[in-house]
Order: sequence, then C-alpha cells, then structure tokens
Amino acid sequence: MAISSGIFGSVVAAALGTTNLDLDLESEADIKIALFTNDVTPDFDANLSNAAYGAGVWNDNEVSGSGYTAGGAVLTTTTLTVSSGVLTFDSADPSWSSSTITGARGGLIYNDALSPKSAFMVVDLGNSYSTNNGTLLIQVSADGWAEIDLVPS
Amino acid sequence: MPSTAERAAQLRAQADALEALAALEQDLLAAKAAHAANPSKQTAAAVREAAEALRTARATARPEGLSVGGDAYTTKEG
Repeated sequence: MAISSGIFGSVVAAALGTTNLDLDLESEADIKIALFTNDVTPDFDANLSNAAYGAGVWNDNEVSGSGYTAGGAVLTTTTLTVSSGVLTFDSADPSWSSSTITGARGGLIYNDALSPKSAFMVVDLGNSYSTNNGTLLIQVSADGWAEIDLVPS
Repeated sequence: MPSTAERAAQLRAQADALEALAALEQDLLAAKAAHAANPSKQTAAAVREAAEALRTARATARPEGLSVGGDAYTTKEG
C-alpha cells in the first residue's frame, strides 16, 4: 500500500456533468488538505461516494497529533487558471506550526462543505515527514498542485 | 561561499518577492470578496485577472517540484 498522486475522475465528471457538483476549487473557506500516512492506497477510479474525505480508503490513516486538527488545513488564495491550454490549480503553501506529526506521506485535497466531502486530488509528498513541536510546510511547486493539459498534441 | 553582502542581497530579493506575492494574494482576496458581494461579468473578470497575476508570480517565485520544509524531517516508513 502506498500513496500516489492523482485526480479523482468521478469527482471531475460530477463537477462537469449534469449533477453540477459544486467543487468550487477557488473557495477561500472550503478547500482543505488533509494529511495521510503511507498506509493508504488511493483508488482514483473510486465512485463519488468513496472519492471523499472520511469515506472509502480515506476513512482511516489520517495523521494525528498536537498542532494538527482532523480534516487538515484550509487552502487559501486558491487559483484556477488557464495558460497555453493548460489548466492549473494552485494555492498558497499550507503549513502546520507547533505541530507534532508522525509519518505524513500524502495530502488529500477536498471540499469540506460538500456531502460527501468530495476529493479533487491526492498529492504524494515523496517521503514520510514528521515534526516535533515544529512546522510542517508544504511548498507547492512552480507548476501548482495540478496541471491538466486541455489541448494535448 | 557568498559574501555577507551577496547574502544580504539574496535575502532582500527574497523579501521583495514575498512582499510582491503577499500583495497579489490580497488583490485576489479582494476580487473574490467583491465578486461574492456583487456577482457580475466585471467582478468575475477581476477575479480571473487577479488569479492569473498571482499564478504568474508564483510560477516565477517557486522552485520546480513540490517539497516539504519548515522543521519537518523524513521518517522511515513502516
């Protein structure tokens, strides 16, 4: 079992299709990132009920500890932009200060206001990270959290 | 090894970049708030403009690839 990066197809389909799922990745209040250990194996083909925080494989193995609240942190100054046919999702760098966290390996980005709490994507941190009354800072790439090529060659 | 003056210049450049990002973040928050209060084509366009300006600045200021920093240290996976 291991964390890997990816986007949940069922959630994207629900946001673009008849159901009009209000994923609202540009929300300043509802988009959160929760940290999980490497004991989770994401299923990016999961149905809408299981591609959500607190459901399916995301109902267990969230990190815990002082300075970390279950559910994770709100992503702020979120942006969805398009340049040269590439859609980019981005935000400010999330951090957990004065935290004691053990084994954070991946982040689940989801909308906390939906029911279920639909997840957009998972990001693999590359290693398992811990803190001891310190700050865990995720520094987002220059390419943002995710890029989708809308005009593939 | 950079000299003290070179290091000071690097730190000033980093501070300037962070201040520029902070200003663009405030612009985006203001645009989103204005759109929430008065949804219109004009306020929507202002959100898009602010988001694109911030994205461009972030793409320039950030290194390639996600990383984890602060006080975090790597731990062996069980």
